[in-house]
Formats: sequence, C-alpha cells, structure tokens
Amino acid sequence: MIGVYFISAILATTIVADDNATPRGITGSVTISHSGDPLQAKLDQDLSSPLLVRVTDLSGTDPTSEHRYRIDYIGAVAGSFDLRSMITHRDGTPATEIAPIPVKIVSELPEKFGSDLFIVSAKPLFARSYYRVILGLIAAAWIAIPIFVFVRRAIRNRPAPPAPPPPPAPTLADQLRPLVEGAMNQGLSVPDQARLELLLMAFWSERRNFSALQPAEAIEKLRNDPEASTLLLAVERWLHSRAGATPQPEKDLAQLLDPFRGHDPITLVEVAQ
Amino acid sequence: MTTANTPSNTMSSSPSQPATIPAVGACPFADTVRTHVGKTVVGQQVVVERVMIALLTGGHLLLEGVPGIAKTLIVQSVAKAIDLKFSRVQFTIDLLPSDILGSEILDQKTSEFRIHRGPIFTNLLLADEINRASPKVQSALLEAMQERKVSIGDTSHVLPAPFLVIATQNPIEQSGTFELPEAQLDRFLLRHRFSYPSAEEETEVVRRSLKLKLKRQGDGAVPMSAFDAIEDGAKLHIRDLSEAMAAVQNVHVSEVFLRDCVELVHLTRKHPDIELGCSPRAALALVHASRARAFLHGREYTIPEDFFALAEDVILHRMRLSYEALAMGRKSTDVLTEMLRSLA
Repeated sequence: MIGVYFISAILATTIVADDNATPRGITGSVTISHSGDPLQAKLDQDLSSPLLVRVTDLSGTDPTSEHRYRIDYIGAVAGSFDLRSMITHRDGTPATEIAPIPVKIVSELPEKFGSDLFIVSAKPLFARSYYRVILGLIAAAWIAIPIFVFVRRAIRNRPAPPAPPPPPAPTLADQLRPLVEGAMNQGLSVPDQARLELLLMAFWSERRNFSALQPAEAIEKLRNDPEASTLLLAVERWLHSRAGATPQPEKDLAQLLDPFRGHDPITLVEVAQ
Repeated sequence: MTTANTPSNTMSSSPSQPATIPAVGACPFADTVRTHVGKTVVGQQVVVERVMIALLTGGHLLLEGVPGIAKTLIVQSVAKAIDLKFSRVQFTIDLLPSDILGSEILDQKTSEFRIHRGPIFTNLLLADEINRASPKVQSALLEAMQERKVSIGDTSHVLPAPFLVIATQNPIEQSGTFELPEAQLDRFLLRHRFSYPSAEEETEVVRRSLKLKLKRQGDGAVPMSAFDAIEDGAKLHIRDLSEAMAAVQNVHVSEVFLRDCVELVHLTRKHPDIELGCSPRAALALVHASRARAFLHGREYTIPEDFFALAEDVILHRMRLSYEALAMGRKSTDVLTEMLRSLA
C-alpha cells in the first residue's frame, strides 16, 4: 500500500524546470506539481548555505486539487544540487515522496578563482592586523625625521676646524731665485735666460714708471739706476759675457734678490700686454 | 768687463734712441774720434756713433734728415779723424753712373784708353741726397756697395779698404726724387734719422760760428765755414781702424742675444700690420752693429741695450707697413715698439 502511494505520489509530481543551469547569485526557478501534503521550503535556512530555496504555492485554496509550486533558488556555490533536500512538508518532514529536482549552479568566473562567494582567497590586509603598530611607527617617524634633519643640519653648519695657515704666497724673489741661480751657474736654457731678462726689465720699468718710454730709453735708464742695475748688470755679465761671471756666494744672491721680496710674481702674459 | 756708464753728455739725435755716451777711456778709438769730431760738431753723438759702427762693421749708412743739421760736416770730420780718403757726390737727376764709378777716356798723347777713376774710389763716400739720382745711378752705386768692386770697360777694379758709403736723404722734399726700393734699402746696414739739435746745442753752434774768422785768398777773403775749422791733423790711421775692426770681431755675442735678434726679425714677418718683413740680412746687421756698439762702449760682449738702441736704425727701413695699417694711421716706429715690448 505504501509502495503504491509512493509510486502514485512520484507520478503525481511533475517537475518543470525553467533552466537547470543557473549562474551563482541569480535566482532560478522550478515549477512542480504535487498532489500530496502541501510543501514548503526548509525552515531556518542558513544564509551561508550554498543554496537558498523559497517555495511558492501557485494553486488556489482547494486542498483536494493538485498543487503547483514554484521553487525559487539562489546558489552561492557552483555545483549540482537537489532541491528536494531543501523542501519539507508543513510538518517539517522531508518531502521524500517527490522526485529529485536537480539544479546546476554555474560560476561565471574561471575555474581557478573558485566558486564560493564567501571565501576570500587573498591574504587579509596586513594593516588590518597591525594598524596600531603602523600608526605608532608613523607617529615616531613624524617626530624622528625632523629631529634627524635638524641634527644633521646642525652638524653640517658646525664651523670647520681652523685650517692650517696657508704657505706664504710666492714672491717675485721666489720666482727669480731659480732663474738667477741658473744664470749664475751658467745652467740656464736660452728661453729661460730671455725670460729672466724680461722679468727684470718688466719689473723695474713698472716700478720706475718707464712703461711709456721707448724700450731703448727705459733700459738705458735702468742700467744707470743704482737699485735696478745691481741685478740687471750682474745678469748681463752672467748671460752675455764670454766666460760667464764668477759664481758668487749665496749671501750675494740673497742681497741681489732683496728688492724683489714682497712683490707678486710676474706672468709673461702680463709683460707682453 | 762692464762699463759704469755715467752719461755726462746725453744728447739725443732721435727722441726714441738713447744717446748713452760711454765713459772716457772705455774705448780709446771711440774717444779719439769723438773728441776730434766734437771740436767741429756740437752734439749729434749718436750719429757719430752710427758712423763709427758702419766703419767698424764695413756696412753702409743712410742718414735721413732735413738740410742744415751737419750731416756732411760729421762725415767729413770722422773721415779726417781717421785719415780716411773722403769724397762727396751731390746726386742729381742728370748724374750718370760713370760720374761716380769712372770711365775710360782716350789719352790723346798716347792714343790709348786710360781709366779715369770716379769718386767712388775712396774710403768714405758721402752720397748726398741719393734719392735725387735716377734709379740707374742708384743701382750702380748700390752694386758697388755690395760687391766692393766696379767694372770700368773690361776691367774690374777693387774698391779701397775700408770702403764706406754714407748716403743722405731729405725726407721732406720728395718731388723729383726716386725713392730707394726696399731691396736697395736693405743694403744699408743702418738708416739713422736725424732730428734738430736741442736749444743748448744750437746756441753752442751759433756761439762757435761767431769765433770763425775770415779765410784770406790773395787780396780777397771769405768767411770761414765749419768745414774750414776741421782739424787736418789726423789722430788715427787706417791701421788703427783695422785693429779696431779686428777687436770688434772678438766681441762676444751670447746665445740669448742671438735669439732676441732672430726673434725680432721673425716678428716682423708675422706682424699683421707689416706687409713686408725683414730679410735675414736684418738679423746679421743687428748682431754685427751691436758688436761694434759694444766695442765702442768698451765692452767685450753685447748686451740688450745694444739691441734696443740699434733696433730702430736696423729694422725700420727693412720693413713695410701694410696699406691697411697706414690707412689706420699706424707708424712704423709704433709697430716696432710693440714688437720690442713683446721681447722686452
């Protein structure tokens, strides 16, 4: 008797599925006809369950006639489900007498992205866990960076230790000394000999304001100048005489160079100008 | 050996040239000539020195100056001081080469040609106003100056030794003159430009002229000129001159002095304002003239003062400024001074 009832009940249920492949999150619906006890959706469905089902009775109030139900469902997870498991009688008993109502929930995403709407595959944001620490670090940097800049600037601006005193600038005497020594020892090259005479004439011409004179007049006056002629005539002897002059002691050289101490060296470019 | 020059008598014949007179006793030869010339000529010490330099080096001298500043008198006085034969030729437009060199003339007694030697056969020839003669005459004289011999007819005649030409030019009267070309100017060792004597010198010239008396010739008389006042008694002879010339040959010229001379000559060839620079003859002239000057100043070696004192007389007549430089008012002396300053 019971078997007949089940068979009749199975036969009495007609399933009309709109489309059994429904995308996730999209409402699908299946219409069934059932002549047994009224059906309802399983109570207390968990919102996190992979499938949510709602059953709507489309027929009238006559309890003897065959009922048509529309079963709306929303899948959260891709996969194949049987809606029958989500349908019960009004008394809460499972509606095992109805035929399985298979539906397929499909995902629009590629397979590797999964299909669970509620599972987050990415790692949780670091800041979500350590934001206090991060904020602390930012606050510390806010204070430390200006201090660092201030200290560094202060170090840089610190007055440098006093440099050692520069060596005394070479004087004209220093410039002339090797040339005069070379001339005394007959070891001066011809260009250096010319340079020595040039330096001497340039220096004394300027000192005596002979620059406006003709070179011939200037040199004649310099040769007769008691101060200028001292070295000038000596150099003449050393450079132009046949055997050169007898080398003189060092103290004589120092005396000869005395008038040139305290004067800046002369460049040959200045002389040419 | 150096000279302690104490210029007791510095009279400038040219404003750009010093007239350093060496101390008495530094060079007996020069002292004797100066003393002799000084009895007739006032001042002009530099000119006398240039004449002696020309004599000692065997060069020739071109004197340039206005008339009446004792050019002829100086030359004649120097000639008499050294007992040199002296001739003077006044160059004119109609002068012929044979008037200077000489010619072959027919001796009517022997019916043979004999040589008539011209005034060039002398020791000291004064070619007065050389630029007034035609180029043909100038050329004949300049050839003789160079070769020291002349050809008359088929015979070549060697000129006496020493042989020195002192030519003069008047720089202000250029009309009817034939300017000597650079190639011929180059044959003169020195070209010296006279200037007027100073007021003191000129006063002394006038004062001396007042002492000149009359020169009587028979019953007539003419006032004596300065030429008549030149002493005849020569103090020196050609032998003394030859010895002095030999002494000049021994004057030492240092390497640095040679460098300066050559450098200056090279500068004339590179200077932008100079169209024609100096020939190598200029460096030779500068060195030889400096040696003679050193000798006259009693030195055994040349010094830069010789170089600077002689540069103008040696260089200026051997270079020619470019047209652009002349148009801009540049003067040869300014350009030379620039070059000398770059050396000194």
